[in-house]
Amino acid sequence: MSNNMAKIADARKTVEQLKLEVNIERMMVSKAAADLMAYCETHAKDDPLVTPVPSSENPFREKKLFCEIL
Amino acid sequence: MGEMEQLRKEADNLKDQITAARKAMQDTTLQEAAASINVVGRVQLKTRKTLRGHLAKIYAMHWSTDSKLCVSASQDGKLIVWDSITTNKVNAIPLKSSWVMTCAYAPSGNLVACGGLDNMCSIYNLKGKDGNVKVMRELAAHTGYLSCCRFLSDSEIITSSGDCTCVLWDIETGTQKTIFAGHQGDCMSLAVSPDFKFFISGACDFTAKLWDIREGTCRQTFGGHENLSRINYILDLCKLYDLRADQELITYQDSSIMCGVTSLAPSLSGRLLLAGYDDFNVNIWDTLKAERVGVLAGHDNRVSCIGVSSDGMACCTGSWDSFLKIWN
Repeated sequence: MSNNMAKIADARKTVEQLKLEVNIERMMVSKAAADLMAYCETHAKDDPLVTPVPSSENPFREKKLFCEIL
Repeated sequence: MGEMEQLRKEADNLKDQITAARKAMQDTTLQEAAASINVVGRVQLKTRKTLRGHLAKIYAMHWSTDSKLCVSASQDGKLIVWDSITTNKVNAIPLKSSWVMTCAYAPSGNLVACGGLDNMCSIYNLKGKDGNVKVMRELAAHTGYLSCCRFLSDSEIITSSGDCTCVLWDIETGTQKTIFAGHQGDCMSLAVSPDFKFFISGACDFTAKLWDIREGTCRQTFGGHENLSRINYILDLCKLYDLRADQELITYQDSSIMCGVTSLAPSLSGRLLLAGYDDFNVNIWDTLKAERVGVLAGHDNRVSCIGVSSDGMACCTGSWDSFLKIWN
């Protein structure tokens, strides 16, 4: 009996949650896509994986080491 | 009609309304909108560093916000904090349980966390007075494995678990502040928004949910594919979902790829999506055009985790072959 009550309580929660999700504001795909494209475009030059930095500015490139004879 | 039947009908009706509301937003597709731009040029990244030291499969890695240090977790029972530039091990932390599935670096750089089949999230203080790294807290309450954890700050962390819930913890007191319940299957992964107000969880119930951290409520649910074991804030498995349009925008697939995705990371601008696969490779996708623009081959086993540093300078991959590689 209590298993049934638990299932009904769950089902009620599901319905309440769905009601919340139905009512959200949504944006047109054209606007969302345009915003995404604009963001990528603006930040592309600062994205080191899209616009590689010169070796001298890449902390992961081997630096040439010079030995000094003291 | 019984109440159960009524509720089921109501739920189905609401789901249909959501589907219709999403469809009403489809005045175009991302594919069409991006038709006017060119595919990004071929991306050829090289392995710059190999981090050697783990003795078993690596399951997780996370960059520190300084873009230099990173932490990795392996089933050899160790958390290692690496200096990715020198490849030195800054800390090698032995774990009580070797069945670790996740690790995280706090934004401050002071703490790291990990957890797994022990159902707990253990917090370690890297900056203890005597220089030793010790367990600071053991966050125990989940009744299932810890699949993922992410710090909001030194005092709060969010965890996802095989018990189908996510939890916001107060690290100081070791207590649960908020329980995010709603998933019908194991929660496998989570990602926090850059402003720390929201997080997304992915679960084995085939859905991803957007949660409001302070309210403790689920705002949106995305779903419809096989299994959500890896998600990222802007990307979901190999589909891209837009939070404001509340729907899927594009799928990243290629007939030549026959295996599953284990991990994802976007590049700094979001233009590239790096995804680790079961076939030992990482595929690099043009996020907007859904075309493959590069491959990272170099691991001898499954790529289990991937992360791009905060400054976008490098990508780190962790593998079941026990190595981590830094690429750019």
